[in-house]
Amino acid sequence: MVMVVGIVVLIVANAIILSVTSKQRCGSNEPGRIAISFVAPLQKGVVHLIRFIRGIWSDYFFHVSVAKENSDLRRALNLALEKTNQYNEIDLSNSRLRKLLNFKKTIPHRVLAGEVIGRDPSSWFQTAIIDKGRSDGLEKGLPVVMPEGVVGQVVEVSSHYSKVLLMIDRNSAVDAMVQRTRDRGVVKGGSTGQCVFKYALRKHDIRVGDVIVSSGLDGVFPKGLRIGSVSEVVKSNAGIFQDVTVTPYVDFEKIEEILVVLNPPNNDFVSGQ
Amino acid sequence: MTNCFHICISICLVVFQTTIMPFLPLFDQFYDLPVLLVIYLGLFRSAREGVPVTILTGLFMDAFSGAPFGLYTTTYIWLYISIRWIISYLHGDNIFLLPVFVVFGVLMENAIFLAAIILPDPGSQVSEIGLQSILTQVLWGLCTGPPLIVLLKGGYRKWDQWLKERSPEPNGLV
Repeated sequence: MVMVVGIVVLIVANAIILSVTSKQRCGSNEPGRIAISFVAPLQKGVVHLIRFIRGIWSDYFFHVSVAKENSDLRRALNLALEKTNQYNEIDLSNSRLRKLLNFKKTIPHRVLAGEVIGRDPSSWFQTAIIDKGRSDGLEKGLPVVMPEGVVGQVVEVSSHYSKVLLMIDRNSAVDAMVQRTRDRGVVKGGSTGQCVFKYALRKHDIRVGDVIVSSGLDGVFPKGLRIGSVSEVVKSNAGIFQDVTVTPYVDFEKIEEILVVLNPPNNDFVSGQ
Repeated sequence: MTNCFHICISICLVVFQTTIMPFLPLFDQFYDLPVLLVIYLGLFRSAREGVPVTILTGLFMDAFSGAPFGLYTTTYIWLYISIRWIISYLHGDNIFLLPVFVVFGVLMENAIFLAAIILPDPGSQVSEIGLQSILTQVLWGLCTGPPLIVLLKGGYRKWDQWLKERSPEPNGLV
């Protein structure tokens, strides 16, 4: 009974207090202010701490994801660059092979395309190793050409590879003539990556810029293949020959694909005798 | 096993020299790399190991070169003999002598090549570019030869160590 009365009294007192405080809402509330001034800094601190931790957390994950994204993008970029490079290489190779194919159509002889896989280890000698050999129908002595002009001659043949003596080697010789005047001579390899047009008589009119082509009379190279252009003519007072320097059309530093003439003109030459 | 290692090194050098070096813009006037192997063999290995590898390397190079067949083999053999003769007077392990050995090797090789070019054709002359090429090779040799020989020596030391670890114990026999 006492308890019930107590509860009722408490409810009534509570209602009175609430009705009084509700009327004084805009008035001063000292205990509330004190409580706020005590608790608010803590709230502020906690909120800042939470924000700080949230910031670190989100930044960390953000950086981790950015770093991952960055490395993914780098990888993708590298792949794209590699692919672009491959496409460029294929494009260049395509144009070279097109050129070779067009050239192949222009010569009446049977030719085989090969790739240069190695160069002479010494700068004193000029040879190249190609990826075609006896099994592909190559034999010693066959001429090697490019759309730009004469490259050299096969000097050694193994089953799948061959050694080509380049035209700029000292031991190389190609029977040639000046295209304009039809004066004959022999193009030999020089010592500086150039060639010399030997046995050209002093009386012959050879000028700088003249085109030298193969004569076909050596029975090795087809007639009319471009060899190079005359870059220097020296007519000394003595002697019956003039010194003619020829700059080859083929850039021997950059040869990659070549054509080997499988049925050189010596057959025609022999049959024509 | 060691012979296989010698052959591998030799083939690697020959392939590098014939397929990679000619297409690198700065290295087209580089000296002959197998010379370093011959110098190393002459300085640090026994004749039983050195002579066959020297001959084999020479034959490899001869096969790839337009030089008269046997020129590289001859050059390497003479270089090997010369190095062996020199170290009977000088200390081969001296690191400061390595540039001398490399320059000697490069010059000796070029001298033999020039003799092979000029002697059969007395009228032929060595151009200025040819001489410049020799000078460039010597400079390259001075700069890169000694570290490469040291590298080769390190590689061989590792190989010998590896072989020693793998070799069976002598079963207590002394």
